[in-house]
Amino acid sequence: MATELSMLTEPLVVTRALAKEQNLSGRMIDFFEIEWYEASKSRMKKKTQGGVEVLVEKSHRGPLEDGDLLYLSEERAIMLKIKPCDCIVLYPRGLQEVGTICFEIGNKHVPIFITEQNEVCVAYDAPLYQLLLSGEFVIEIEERVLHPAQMVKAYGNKRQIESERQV
Amino acid sequence: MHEISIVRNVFETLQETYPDKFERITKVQIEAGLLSNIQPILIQNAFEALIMEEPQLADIELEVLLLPIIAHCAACDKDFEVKRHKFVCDCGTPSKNIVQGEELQISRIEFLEN
Repeated sequence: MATELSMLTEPLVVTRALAKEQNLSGRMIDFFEIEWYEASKSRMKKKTQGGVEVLVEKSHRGPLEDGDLLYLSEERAIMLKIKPCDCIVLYPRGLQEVGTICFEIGNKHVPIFITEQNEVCVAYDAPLYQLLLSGEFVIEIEERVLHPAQMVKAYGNKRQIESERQV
Repeated sequence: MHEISIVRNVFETLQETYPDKFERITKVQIEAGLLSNIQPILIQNAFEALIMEEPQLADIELEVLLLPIIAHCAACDKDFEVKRHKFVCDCGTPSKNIVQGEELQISRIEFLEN
């Protein structure tokens, strides 16, 4: 008889996401919900929507992604869900405007996300919103999921540069 | 960009407050109001950087809980949530009487049980 996970006294330990594109048919889909700014945390313990306590202890430094499969058994699959949040969404009208927007936001040290539709997203912040409104940008406040894979990084390329030097 | 010093201060405070129990801390929760000028992502990143410098902190989870802004409406004599920094009650009365949203505090600490 399968153990009911919500009855476990110890949390379910997850060190990395499982391979994508697995067959989940016939399984109960449970969600481990996090805020967008928690995706890079190396350690976090929370209950899933179904009441299973999960301890994420990442064995790597990369962020988790929305939709990552954290656990899979014959009865249950636990997937990561990043909660949507209020975002400032900018619709740049050209590459120069992308640069101007990223410069203005970058000065605040907050992460910038560029979507597949070339929208620039940043978590809502009132002073930043007022600052951007004062520019002549096309701007909206929308509820969105901020995906770590869409985050623009101004750092973290050291390893790549070093490996290029070794070539 | 003052989050690094905030995170350092949090753990220095905990070391001073719990010199005998510090090594048994498993989780620290920080409450940050939306008016505290704190970016949770920068707090988390600062903590991850601190772990690299002080690996003994790697077994601790740092959780940032964002608190919404709550203001008090004198006309209705009730509190209301300030959404997207609009300090206006549903009744239309503006208010600058902030009840919640400016906090930045250690709100919860969990220890490893004996």
